Amino acid sequence: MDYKDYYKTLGVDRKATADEIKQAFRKLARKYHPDINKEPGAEATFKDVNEANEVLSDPEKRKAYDELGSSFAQGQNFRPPPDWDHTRDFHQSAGRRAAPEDFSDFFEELFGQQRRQQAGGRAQPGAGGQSFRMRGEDAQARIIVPLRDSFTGAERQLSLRVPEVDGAGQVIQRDKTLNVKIPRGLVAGQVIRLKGQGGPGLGGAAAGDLYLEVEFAPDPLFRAEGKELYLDLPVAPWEAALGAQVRVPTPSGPIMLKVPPNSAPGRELRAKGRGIPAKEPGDLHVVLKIVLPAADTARARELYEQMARDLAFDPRAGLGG
Amino acid sequence: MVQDHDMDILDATTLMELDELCRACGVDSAWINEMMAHGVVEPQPGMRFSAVSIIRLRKARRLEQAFSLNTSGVALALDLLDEIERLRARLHQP
Repeated sequence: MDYKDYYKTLGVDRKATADEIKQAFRKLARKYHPDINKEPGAEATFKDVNEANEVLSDPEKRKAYDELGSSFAQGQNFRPPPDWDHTRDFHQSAGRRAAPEDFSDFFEELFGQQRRQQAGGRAQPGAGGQSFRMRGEDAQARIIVPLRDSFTGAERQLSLRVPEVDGAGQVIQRDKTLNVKIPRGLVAGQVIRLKGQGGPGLGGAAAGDLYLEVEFAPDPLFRAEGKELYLDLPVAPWEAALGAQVRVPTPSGPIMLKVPPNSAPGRELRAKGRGIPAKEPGDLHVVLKIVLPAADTARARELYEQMARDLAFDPRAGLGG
Repeated sequence: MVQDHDMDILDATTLMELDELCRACGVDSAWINEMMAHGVVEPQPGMRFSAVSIIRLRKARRLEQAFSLNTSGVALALDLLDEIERLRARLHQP
């Protein structure tokens, strides 16, 4: 597994004080929190920052981490030293509790609870040996699907770590892969509920459900707002001025669209029913972007000069003065 | 590998009871009441909630925990994030 340089992740010195670490973490967390920063990669950075803080903000974990020494480089191949005490019980920090899948293998190996639970922890039966039934907890996750899946329907694999009760009655964290059917017409902001895929029930009670928040992966062409889709369509000045039939890509294949004469930049044309194929399908909103050809040949300059001469056009007529 | 789940799609028209919403978000009803008092979610008549409340409340929970916010702070952050989303949409940026 790869060594993680937690000090480097937070951008602090190995001798940083607890306050300096807290400050560095808060600043980075605000910048990269995936609910705030929608750039690709922000979530991965946030997880690294969160993990670094989980260790460095806890005196016990920080001390243990520091004992590994400073001779490792970020990403260097790493094995815990033979004398690493795996039975040490590190506190789970109370406030900022991250889901177990948010931590790296490096973290899990050094500070994780999984191996300790497997080694010792045991789900306690009800007091006094009375049988005790309790429905399993619901679990939550996010699923990020390509927009196109909503047009074709698809099946996606989702890996997540879930609590399970093993043969000996112990609760363990287990990696589980789910095949999730993405139905046609799925819209971002909807929630997929998978019955019985949450935490295990106790005493024979039903398992909890798994709730998946649906998000679309950013698409290079289309923007979705609910079931409405938006596309910026580049057009030549003469197409906008004279009108044209242009070929427009849609997630379900290209269509021909009529650009009316005298279209201004930003004009929105609507391809009805070409948005997300929900029960009542959304529309595709095509927004015209007028692209100017460069005046980089003698002929192009000549044409621009002719327009300048022949058209009585003052683009700044509305500015007054 | 598990296949062929019992699956449903929940959207704004799906209504949930409070206890169902608590379980789905992994929170207790006192916490949801607190969020309601600050307008983070609004119940429909009969104390039922649109299923998209799950997403809003889970986001509220994440923000609360990540930045040690109080409920007013959570409500403000959510409103500002909504506003940013609207403005981004107007900029025609994905």
